Amino acid sequence: MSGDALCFLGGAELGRRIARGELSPVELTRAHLERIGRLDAGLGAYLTVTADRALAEAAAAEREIAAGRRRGPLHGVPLALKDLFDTAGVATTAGSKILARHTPARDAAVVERLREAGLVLLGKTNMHEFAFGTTTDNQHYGPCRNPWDRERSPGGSSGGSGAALAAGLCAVALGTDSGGSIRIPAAACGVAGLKPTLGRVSRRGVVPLSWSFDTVGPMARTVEDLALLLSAIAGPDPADEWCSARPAADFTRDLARGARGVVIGVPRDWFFDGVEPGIAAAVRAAIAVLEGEGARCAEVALPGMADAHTAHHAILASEAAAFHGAWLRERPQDYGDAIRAALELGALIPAVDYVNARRVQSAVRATFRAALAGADVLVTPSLPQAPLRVGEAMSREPEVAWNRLLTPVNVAGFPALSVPCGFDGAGMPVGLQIIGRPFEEPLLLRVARAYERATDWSTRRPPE
Amino acid sequence: MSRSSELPEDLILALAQQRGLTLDRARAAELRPLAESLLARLARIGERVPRDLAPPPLGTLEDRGP
Repeated sequence: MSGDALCFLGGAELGRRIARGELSPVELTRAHLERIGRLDAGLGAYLTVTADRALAEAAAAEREIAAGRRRGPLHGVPLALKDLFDTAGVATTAGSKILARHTPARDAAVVERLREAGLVLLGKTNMHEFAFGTTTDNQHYGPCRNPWDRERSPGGSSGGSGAALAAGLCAVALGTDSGGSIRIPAAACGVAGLKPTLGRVSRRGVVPLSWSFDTVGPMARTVEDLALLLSAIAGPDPADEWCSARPAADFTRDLARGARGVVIGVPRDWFFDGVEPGIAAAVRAAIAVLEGEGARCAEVALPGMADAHTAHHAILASEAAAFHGAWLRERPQDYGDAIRAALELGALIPAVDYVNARRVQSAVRATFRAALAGADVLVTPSLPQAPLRVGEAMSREPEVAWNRLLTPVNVAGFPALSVPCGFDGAGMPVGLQIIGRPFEEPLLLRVARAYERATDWSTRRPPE
Repeated sequence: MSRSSELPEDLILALAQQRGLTLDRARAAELRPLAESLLARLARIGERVPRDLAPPPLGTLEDRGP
């Protein structure tokens, strides 16, 4: 198999070949580094490539596995990290000028766990500055481009991770999602991404955007890889008080159980309002595929989603302005124009509005709980439109914002994932959002895997 | 009584100054429509939110249903 073909295999399959001695982690890492060197100048997916370190880690993995000390199913598999995660000895810029010279002394909790699992770090990926935006049009380091159409955004804020996966520049990746920042690039780039339940994964060592919403999650080309990555990173962390005490789990356990008997809730409003016809058709077709797999559909009501989006904006902008307060006062010129304006706007939000937005959060949780009392999962489009053009600004108005189908789930704190479900009229990937009850990631992954197995969307590759 | 969402530039400048932010009149003018739109939507939410609705507890979601 050619190096290029290897770079499009899933992480689980790579791990199996490595375990059987059919594939060398060093060869695999070299194949990825070669592709990055050849293709990334035109994509801007990486901010830092840790080539020497990656080869050393791959060689160490090879030695350990040969000695019978395999750490797990992803041992020796190449990984990309959004540049929001602290990496000991490797620059962590958060896509900003403010942190351009920041080199942490310690890994983030999730990075420690992935190193323990034996993954090989290829580098740190491009992102929207400080994760406060949805396009990865990075003013300081250049825009990241969508491998399916380089005039379009890969989405954001974890856009570099999405683009790297779509272009075969890593096997698996991590992102963060505070308002769709995993699910947007997953949908826009035709890959899979999971925002776990708030608190499922430790945030220690992750540059904050919004404490109420920040969620670490896996991105990959296959649902099995999402499950393996989540198994590696989830679990309690006494250093993060927001992290659940639930023990780590094997999220691959239910993957093969199929969708038979699962009740799929389809919202009758908001989530299909103003959605481009090609996207709505792809999602309706995906629902039909799931019905063909034995799932049953039920219409559900989810009122109040415009208020949910507004509450999300108020909470996120207020908390971001609080976190950035000192830098915003002392180094305002070092922010990109759009994020500076967004932070200044956050600083102007009165406390009473912030508290009322938090009260809306209670109502939104109740609404999702009610909808998920009559259904096992909810299914919607991930994005209502094709990815924005590079340089195109996103509106935050609830009726037109391109993350409006995602932010209500952040407000609720529930888990949700996006998997590829076709292409729109412009030839861009379409994402299917699957939303579940708190801590029911195994069911989300099971339904997503059933859909993936019944279709071939996850095997499609962008042109080079 | 409805809270006005009109936000004169002078008020934006004063609020920004209170928070130690460097904001000139041109930037205040740029921010004004965004701020007015968001604050108007939040004001409407404030009028509708049920009196007995409290914010959720901070931290992770735990086993409270469904």
